[in-house]
Amino acid sequence: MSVTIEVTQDKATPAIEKLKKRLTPQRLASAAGPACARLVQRHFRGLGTNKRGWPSTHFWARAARATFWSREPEGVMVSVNQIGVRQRWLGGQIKPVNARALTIPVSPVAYGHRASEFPGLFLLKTKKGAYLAQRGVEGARAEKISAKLRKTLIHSMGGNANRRQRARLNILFKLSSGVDQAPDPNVLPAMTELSATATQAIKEAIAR
Amino acid sequence: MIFDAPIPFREAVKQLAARKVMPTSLSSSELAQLNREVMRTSFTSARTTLEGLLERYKVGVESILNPQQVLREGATQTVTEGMDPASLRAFIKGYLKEIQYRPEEGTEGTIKDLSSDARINLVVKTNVELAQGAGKFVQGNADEDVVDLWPAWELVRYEDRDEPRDWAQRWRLAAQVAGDPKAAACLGLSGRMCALKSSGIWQALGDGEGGYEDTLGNPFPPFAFNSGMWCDDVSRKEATDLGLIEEGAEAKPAQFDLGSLFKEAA
Repeated sequence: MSVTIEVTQDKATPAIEKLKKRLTPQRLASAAGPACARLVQRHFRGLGTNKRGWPSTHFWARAARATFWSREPEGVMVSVNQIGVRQRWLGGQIKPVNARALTIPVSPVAYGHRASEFPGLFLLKTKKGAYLAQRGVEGARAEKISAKLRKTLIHSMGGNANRRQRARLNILFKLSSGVDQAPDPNVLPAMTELSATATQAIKEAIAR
Repeated sequence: MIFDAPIPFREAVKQLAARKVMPTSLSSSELAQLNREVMRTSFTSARTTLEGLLERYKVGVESILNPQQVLREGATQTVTEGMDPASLRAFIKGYLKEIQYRPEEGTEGTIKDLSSDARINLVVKTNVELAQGAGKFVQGNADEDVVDLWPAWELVRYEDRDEPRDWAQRWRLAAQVAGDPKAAACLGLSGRMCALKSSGIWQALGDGEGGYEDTLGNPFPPFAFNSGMWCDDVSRKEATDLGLIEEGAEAKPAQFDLGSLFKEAA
């Protein structure tokens, strides 16, 4: 017995061709790249402000804006081009470079600033360590500083201006020979979450 | 995934590189009157005639956008080096001190004082975000597949503000001017500020339609000075669910000459 099949209308080939177009590496990268980048950006935005409740430097919002994706031969890469993100994620030692000590902010006024931005800093050694401090305005007045420098001091102090003006001494930075930061895996979304997001985006691209 | 060799955000870095330093004595409102294309391809700041200062800002902004991997002497592992806003601020203050800059009498510590934190922060923030926003805009519009699969943007708040500007109201006015009732309806129905990439609403937001004078003239974020707002990608499925695009309909990119962002200013 023999059966002859005559194809009068080929619907399969165009459908397969259409599917093949949707399955190019370029298109799948275009599906997964923005999806994963958006997941990372939303994750960063959810990390909130600093633990001490000091005025925010918007570190994580900046990290979200510095997040982008690119096509690579192996697939897709999501990059975060911001100093400090990798350090928070993987942890590790931080040692002073071009200076003898790290300056760790111990005041909301100093947070997000470099020591060089504060005029009139002086070294204060205590049993608990060495600090960089700035005279309060009253203290500065007692030393008969110029009106101009006093004005600059008030501007540079920020924070609670009244309290700081009354204070004799404002301790701004702690000096440290180095710190060993613990890694924080929660800086990035879990790999399973990234993988699920990419898979879902690819499924939607194929179904389109 | 590779973690030790960051890839530069090419579009953002390229856009910044194309911007030519333009010293000016114009105020921000006068600058806003200039041709948009000139502004997009210029690196400038209101009433800043110091070319050396603008050059240093540009170098610093590039360092923030594109940190480098370096192997320090005696180290076995590379570290990322580059500026952050605080180190750039210190760098700029150092330069101004070096050239003995003095603010005008009565402007010390204000936005008009080129050495004030407020002024330096604003210049750095605006220029970093402009390059990143342009980069995102190009990446989101240049590729046919990306436009097809991610046909819309969502305007979202990235940074909290003590007194946030009323972006919902701006959205409604911009939707009206751009003739995009779907964008307006999206806000009304879902509370989300989403619109197709091809919508004129993005340029209208950047133009401050409705009489806003804090805008930057671009169809991409940050839209306005210190806005705290940014754009997220919206997938085709979401855009369809939000009523922005019909199922199966062709998605279009923004009507914008992307190449103009990379042309060096004349």
